[in-house]
Amino acid sequence: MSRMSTSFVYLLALGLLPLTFSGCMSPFAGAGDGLAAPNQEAARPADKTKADAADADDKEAKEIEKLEHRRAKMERDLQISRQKLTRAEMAAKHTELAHQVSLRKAEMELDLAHHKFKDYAENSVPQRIARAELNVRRSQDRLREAEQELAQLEMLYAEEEFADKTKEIVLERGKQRLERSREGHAITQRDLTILLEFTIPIEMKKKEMEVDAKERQLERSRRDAEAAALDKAIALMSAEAEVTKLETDYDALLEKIAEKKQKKD
Amino acid sequence: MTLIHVLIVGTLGILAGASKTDVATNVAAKSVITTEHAIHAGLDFLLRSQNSDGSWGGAGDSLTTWSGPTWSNPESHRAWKVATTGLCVMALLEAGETEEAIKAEKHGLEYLLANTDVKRPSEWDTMNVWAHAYGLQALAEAHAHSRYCFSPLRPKIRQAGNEHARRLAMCQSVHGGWGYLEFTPPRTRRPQWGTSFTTATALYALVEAREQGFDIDQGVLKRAVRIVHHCRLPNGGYTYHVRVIPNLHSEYIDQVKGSLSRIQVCLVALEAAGEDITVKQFRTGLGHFFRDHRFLDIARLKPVPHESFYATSGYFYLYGHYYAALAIEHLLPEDREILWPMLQREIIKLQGKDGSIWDYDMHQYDKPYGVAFGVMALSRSIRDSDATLTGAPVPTAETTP
Repeated sequence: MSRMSTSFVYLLALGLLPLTFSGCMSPFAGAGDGLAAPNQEAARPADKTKADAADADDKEAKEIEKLEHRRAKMERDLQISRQKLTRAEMAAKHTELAHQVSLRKAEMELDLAHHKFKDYAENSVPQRIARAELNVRRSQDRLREAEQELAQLEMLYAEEEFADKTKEIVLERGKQRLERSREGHAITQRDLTILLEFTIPIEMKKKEMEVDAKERQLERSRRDAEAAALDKAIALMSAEAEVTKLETDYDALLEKIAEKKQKKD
Repeated sequence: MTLIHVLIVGTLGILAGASKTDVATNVAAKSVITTEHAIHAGLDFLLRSQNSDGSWGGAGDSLTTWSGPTWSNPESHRAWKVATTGLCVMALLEAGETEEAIKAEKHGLEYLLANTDVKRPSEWDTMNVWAHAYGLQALAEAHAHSRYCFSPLRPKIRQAGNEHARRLAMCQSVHGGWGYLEFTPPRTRRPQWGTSFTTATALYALVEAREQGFDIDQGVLKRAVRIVHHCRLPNGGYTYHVRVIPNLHSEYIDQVKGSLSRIQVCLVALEAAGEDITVKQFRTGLGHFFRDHRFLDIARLKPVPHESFYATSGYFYLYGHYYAALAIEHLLPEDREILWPMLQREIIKLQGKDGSIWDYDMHQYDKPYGVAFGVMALSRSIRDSDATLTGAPVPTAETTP
């Protein structure tokens, strides 16, 4: 329809073009513009109305066409926005799941840290202390045995002079063993003191710091989860708003197109 | 006599109308015949297995001996050869009566006379002690035997005995005992380690030698007696090692069940040395020996020393039975009558078809020394049984101190 209108307009324009030149070449052309040939003046008001109507039709058709273009574009935009909305919903759900997992992990790690600390404080430390104290007692026993053995050796060899040189070697060995037992016992006692005053307190502190770190980790995870959820909610809302706006505009446009078409008809 | 013997023979006796005394005599006689047979079979084995130089035993069979590769020192083997030959000569002196037996005994004696200079094999190996102990005992018993009273060998026997005694004195440990290994560095010329039973073995030999008038240092004897006493435990056992302070664990070697053979040799040696050892102590020691005999049975033939319960080893079986026989001789007749057949049974049950008796796989020494210990123990049981049967005087509650 529009192509035909356009063709009609071109034909009309071509037909009217000579009339326009003839009016310019007339001896009377410069004398007065708008003076038409006597036989053309009588047909102009009717043609003008017809032309005006044709113009208006054309204009209307062009507008409708423009609106249709807009409608198509808007339709595509609407589809894209709907997909974006679906994507935003999916992202929100995935983010929630991921944060749930992350939170659970942080909670479990904190729980494990508590258990480890409890095990350390209630089992490991008392056992190590008990073992160290037992070592001190054993070392004390060995020291006493070395003292007793040396005393017995001296008694055994005291009665007569026999194998003096060998006896000296054996007694000397006994004395050395006693001395090493004394040194060993002192070291074992010091080991216990170091364990009680330094090693265990330092380890206890480290364990407490580990528990703290896990608690902070859990809090951080919770905050991150909240912020991410909020971000996703905002994105979702934006997508929803976008879709709603496009739908409204689309509906309005459809109405307008329908109106235009109706008017034209 | 055992209960089974009494039931069977007693029933037969009643049926035959025999008296109780007749039954007991028949059982004892049967026991003597079986034991005699075992002794003869053992002696035959000794005659067949004697080396051409008069010795018994050798370094062969190293592959089957668990500790075979350890004993690569020829002097260790020489020490064992002299000790084994000493035991075999003692067995022949005790039980050999045939011409062949006497000839073999003399040949063995000549080997002993030529091999008194056994040296300490190495810094950790002092097995020469066994050579000196059993070499000395064999020479002392030969010196005492009627066969050598007027023999031209007698002065040489005494001279060789003195040499063994001198070397024993040289290797007496610093605490007065003897051992067969040295563990603790620095290893000294005079050893530092000893065991109760090695000390008792050497002590017994020294006492027999002293009785024959050999040159025995009284200081050596006195120290040995003191250290054997030192090894006695309140539970009636004797410690394995000579320790300054005994170390008792619940299943350790120094428990009574690990001390069964050591109790016999220590009591016998102390009594021989003149110490006050009562009949009751012998009786208690032998009671342990036969009541817990299963631990000796279990340990017998086990290849690894001390791998059995209470760290017992196989080589204590026949050694223990020999000294148990010496201990039984100190009991009252009624106790001897019970224990001799038990001893006989525990020895005869080991005898093989070739007459050998053994308890521990040890190169080629195991069967000769096993037969020697077995034959000596069985001979003593027969001798006592003979005395019982023929009415000859035997120790009684009144005559035994």
